[in-house]
Amino acid sequence: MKKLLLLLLSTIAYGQDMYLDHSFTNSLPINVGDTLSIKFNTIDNNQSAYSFLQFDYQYNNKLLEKLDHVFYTDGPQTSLNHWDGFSFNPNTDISLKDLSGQFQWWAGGNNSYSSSADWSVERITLQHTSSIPHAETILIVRFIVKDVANTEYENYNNVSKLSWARAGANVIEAMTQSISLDEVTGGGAGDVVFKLNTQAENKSDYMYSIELENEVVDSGYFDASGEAIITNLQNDTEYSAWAYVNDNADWLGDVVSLTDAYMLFLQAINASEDPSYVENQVDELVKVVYDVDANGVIDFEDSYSLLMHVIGEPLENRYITKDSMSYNITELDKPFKPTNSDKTFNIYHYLAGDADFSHSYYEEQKTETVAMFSLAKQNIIEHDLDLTTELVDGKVEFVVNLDRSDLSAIEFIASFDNSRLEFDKIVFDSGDNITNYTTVKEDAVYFGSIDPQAQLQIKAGKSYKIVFNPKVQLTNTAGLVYFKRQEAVTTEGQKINLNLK
Amino acid sequence: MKKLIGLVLILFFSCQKDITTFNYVPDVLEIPEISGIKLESYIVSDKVQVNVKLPSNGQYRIKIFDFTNKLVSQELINGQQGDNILNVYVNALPPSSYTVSLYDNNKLIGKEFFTNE
Repeated sequence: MKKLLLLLLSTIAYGQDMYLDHSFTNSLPINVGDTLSIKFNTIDNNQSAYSFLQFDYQYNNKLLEKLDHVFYTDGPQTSLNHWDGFSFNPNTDISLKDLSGQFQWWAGGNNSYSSSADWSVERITLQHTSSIPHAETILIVRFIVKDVANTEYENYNNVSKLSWARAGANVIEAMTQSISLDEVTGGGAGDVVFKLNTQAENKSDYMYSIELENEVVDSGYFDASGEAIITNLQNDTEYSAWAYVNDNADWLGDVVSLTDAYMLFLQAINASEDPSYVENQVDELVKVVYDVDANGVIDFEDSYSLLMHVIGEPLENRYITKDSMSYNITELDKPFKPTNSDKTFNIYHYLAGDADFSHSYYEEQKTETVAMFSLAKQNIIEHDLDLTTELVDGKVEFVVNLDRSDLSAIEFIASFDNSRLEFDKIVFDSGDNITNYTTVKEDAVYFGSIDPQAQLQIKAGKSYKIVFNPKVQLTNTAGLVYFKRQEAVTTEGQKINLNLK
Repeated sequence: MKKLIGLVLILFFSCQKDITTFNYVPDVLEIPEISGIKLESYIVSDKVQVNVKLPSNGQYRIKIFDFTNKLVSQELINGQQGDNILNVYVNALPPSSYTVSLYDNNKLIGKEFFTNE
């Protein structure tokens, strides 16, 4: 019963005579850097009258920077006191809107204010010889909206709060006790994380470029884990974003190999059975990776182009990544538009001609739905191979001892010391009807075999022997031939990494 | 007397040369053990002399590995027991750090490191 009486008395005591309002006058959205105007006025609720008003409010000085204030009253004396670094400790047993109650709490000598670097307190006092009218602006305080990205806050909630008020015997309630800015746009985005997605290992060789209206606003390198932290972007601004490989990366020449050519032959064989197969089922972006002659379809022309690239006789006007030249294809997971709540973006990177995705992003689901590209990415099998050079009858012989008989394509690139060696001939013993190739460059020999029909296998044994004529007298051959690349593919399309032993 | 000593020395070396295959081993390439490999210099351009000291006559392998331990060049040699002064040619190797190793079949006999400038 006592509790019921107390509750009733409390309710009666809380019956307000007037409101103190506290609201911003800006239209939405508000941008970082805008001037925010907060006005204060009273509203009558019970035919109240007052000639004295005093109230405290506080604002978050990390999110708002005070510009100035102007009293709009005509007649009353006015005063505004200001303290930085304090915050009001309200009486939590009563409503925060009960400004009269909070005044009693403060006036009661409680520890109502404590140090708080994030807050500034202002005390406003009006005194007049006659009644001060309701519903008229008393005061407007102007602030600059600061960038939340530079603070420990996540949003602009409760940036300004009424603490207490008194106006003679009137009971005062806050119309709006605290102000939150729900739609603040723009401003520095803070740390934006840009994540590179690729199967290539040397992610620190990748660069990014962030552009706005064709102007580069930031660029740099991804780190070894494939991330870049970008700090100079603005919230709510949509940028163009790119990733690309530094053309000085020493592995670009490894991206497109015989495996890629062989796989494209396999795809083209499938496609020839149903010409619409490739065109209709391959993801448009992946198609760009394969469509190295850029004619809109994936066919034998593409596989032939890759093969010519592999054997060292590249065709012109082909989009094939090679030494000192990367053709970059990228895709973002969403528009690159940082906001207060979204600061992480993924970019997926592909290199043109990288048909086995060895140095590109590969998404399992994407190719599961496209059965013909199920060979595109697989676990690579390692296999030992014996390659030797030897001085034989005054000539240098480079011999490949092959001990697998399930290979339908094999590729070698061997550099040689052309100040001491001159290419003489190559002897193939790779089997009947298999297509062999040799391309001799100034200081390298490209050679190997392939069955474009994916049916024949390369004969095991001493399948290849290259003979060099010495230009000078040699004691031995150590270091004269550098094994640059050796790679093979089984008839089924399994990539084999040939490790020399 | 000096002329006599000189003549004796010349005769001595001449006889030595006649008796065995004389392979001059510079001090820097001397290997005190029964077998091993030693380079004339660890910083190399063009080529570097290497002493391949073998425990017996036969076929051996000189392997060159890059810094990732990937085999990048390999020679089969038919060497003589003892010191064999050969060369490692580096013009075809990209500038980097390498290991040159001597193998008897698959058994490592010795290795040296060098940098190709």
